[in-house]
Amino acid sequence: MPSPTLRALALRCVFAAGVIGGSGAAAREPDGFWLGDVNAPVPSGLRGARVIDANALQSLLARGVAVVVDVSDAPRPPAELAPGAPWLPLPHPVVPGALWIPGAGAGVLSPDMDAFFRTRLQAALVNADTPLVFYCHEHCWLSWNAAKRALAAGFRHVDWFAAGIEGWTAAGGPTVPGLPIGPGAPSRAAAGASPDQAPTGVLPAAGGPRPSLAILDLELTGDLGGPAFEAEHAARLAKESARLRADMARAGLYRIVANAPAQASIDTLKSEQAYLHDCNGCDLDVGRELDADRVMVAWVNRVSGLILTLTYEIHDVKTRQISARKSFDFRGDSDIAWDHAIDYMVRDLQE
Amino acid sequence: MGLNRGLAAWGLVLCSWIAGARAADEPPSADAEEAARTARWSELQQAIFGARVVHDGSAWLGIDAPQRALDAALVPVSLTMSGERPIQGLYLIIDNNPGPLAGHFLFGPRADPRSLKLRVRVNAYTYIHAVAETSDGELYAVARFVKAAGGCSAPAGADQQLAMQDLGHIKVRMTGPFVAGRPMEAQLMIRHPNFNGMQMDQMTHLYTPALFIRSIDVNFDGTRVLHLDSDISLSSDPVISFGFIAPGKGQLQVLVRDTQDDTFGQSFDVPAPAAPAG
Repeated sequence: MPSPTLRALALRCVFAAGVIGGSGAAAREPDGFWLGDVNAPVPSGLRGARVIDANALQSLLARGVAVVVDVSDAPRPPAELAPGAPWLPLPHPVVPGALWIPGAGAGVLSPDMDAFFRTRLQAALVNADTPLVFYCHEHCWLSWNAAKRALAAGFRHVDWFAAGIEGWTAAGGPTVPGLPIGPGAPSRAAAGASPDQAPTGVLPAAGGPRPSLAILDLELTGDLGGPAFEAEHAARLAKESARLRADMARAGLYRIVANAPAQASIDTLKSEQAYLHDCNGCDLDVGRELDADRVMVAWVNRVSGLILTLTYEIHDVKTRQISARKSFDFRGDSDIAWDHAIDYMVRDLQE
Repeated sequence: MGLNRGLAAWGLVLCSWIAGARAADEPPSADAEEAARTARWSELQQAIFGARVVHDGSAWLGIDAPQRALDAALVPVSLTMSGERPIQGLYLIIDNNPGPLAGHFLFGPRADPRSLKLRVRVNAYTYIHAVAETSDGELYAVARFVKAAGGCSAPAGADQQLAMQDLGHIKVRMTGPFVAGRPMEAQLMIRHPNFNGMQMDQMTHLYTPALFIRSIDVNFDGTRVLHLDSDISLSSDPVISFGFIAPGKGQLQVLVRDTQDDTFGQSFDVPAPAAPAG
């Protein structure tokens, strides 16, 4: 039973979520990119793009299909401050899973930034119809510019979340600390990042082709909670496996290969083995069949309904070595907790 | 009918989302947000004032700013001090800005430190604190919450040349009749871009290094009215209103120094000549 405050919050969010932009008369849509003050009344729309509100953004996130891009500026520490003045930037909150590319919403981009913007977004898309959502702050032209630029670059499905991070939090949306990426990102120390934060996305060494990766379905170990939880867990594993694939595709570190061509082998192995993440390298056979460079296996160890651990391993098909492995503790055997754990893990991988 | 059903469904989705999120991840409630703001203020007090005690100054200090500012790069802040306690200085702190200490004013013998107005950049919803330092060295604070965000962003297509035009041009407007020994109000306007390091040069595509006003001195015939140590939270083309007391006819002398160590100075007759000065 939700608490009264919770109900009030939920109610408030339903009303608040419908509001886009907030106060101030809407500006006319300029023909080119906006070159004026960033904080000024924005137009009510963008030709070729869809304007979405917090509800619609949440729905896109829940389906795990959108690439969300924050183009807010990142603070850059000046060489000197007033005597006794501290430099203490707060963590920059972003919509969970969002890429934060400061500088991408400027009126004019450097060739570096322009190239980064296109390639990074291209790498993040699952397919040509993946929605790209741009936002910054309320009354902020940077996201308008960035969305317009994405349209000009030929991206098909561009959404503008005009209410910005303030609109998102007012609607009760969760945030995570973001780390800036791209040529407009100040150094990490400058941005006030703590060392344990992962940047919200970094491409592997430029130039070389991305290795291909097969991602096997998530598996559940530990205390499964009994037959009452079977259906719930099966559904959650399927849903979160899809999320993991979408997140990884968006992260752009690997070329994600489809598992379908090896589905028969996967089914056979599943019937023979308790877990594919722990089967003497049987997963590498799947990788070989799919002609993938690496295979990712990930599993959740459920200590209880409250305490869970998500672990991944990436296996190199040729060398049969574990090329990466890491575990993440999380709380709560619920969709949203799993969502966050998966998103966090992929962000951490991008570091 | 269909619309109603749609709306109801949305409400349900969103509410279940929030309920789920709270159970698993506790997104900040109003209380949690307020607690985070209190913690931030404690951290800033520690960073700026060390172990010194900061008292509640709401009995005799006032701070005013729009609750919601559309242009976060130009948020007007107005401070009033009742005058019952002599003060020597004033700190203006924008809690959630990356460089929170926006300015430190020191008042001199020619100051009338009962009112002060300036415009600042606000990067995120924040408390703005004014902390007065009395002549006996005690600190008193008053705060105001401002909903403005993104004000530290540079214009999307900053025209550097235009911004640098008339650099260092200073104007002073005085209000009220001149009576020797009685307080007067002056509005100081300085042409300076106060680059905060986020501006990108359209020609070179490089970020322009921060270039901002580091200090402002205002004297009356060589005796201090005020001294300000400022930083990037001061808006571009700063406008500062303050009170001063001229014991007789003389000159208000303004000296501005920026981070390139360029100095800009100008003097203004008090009382102002009949024709508008500058």
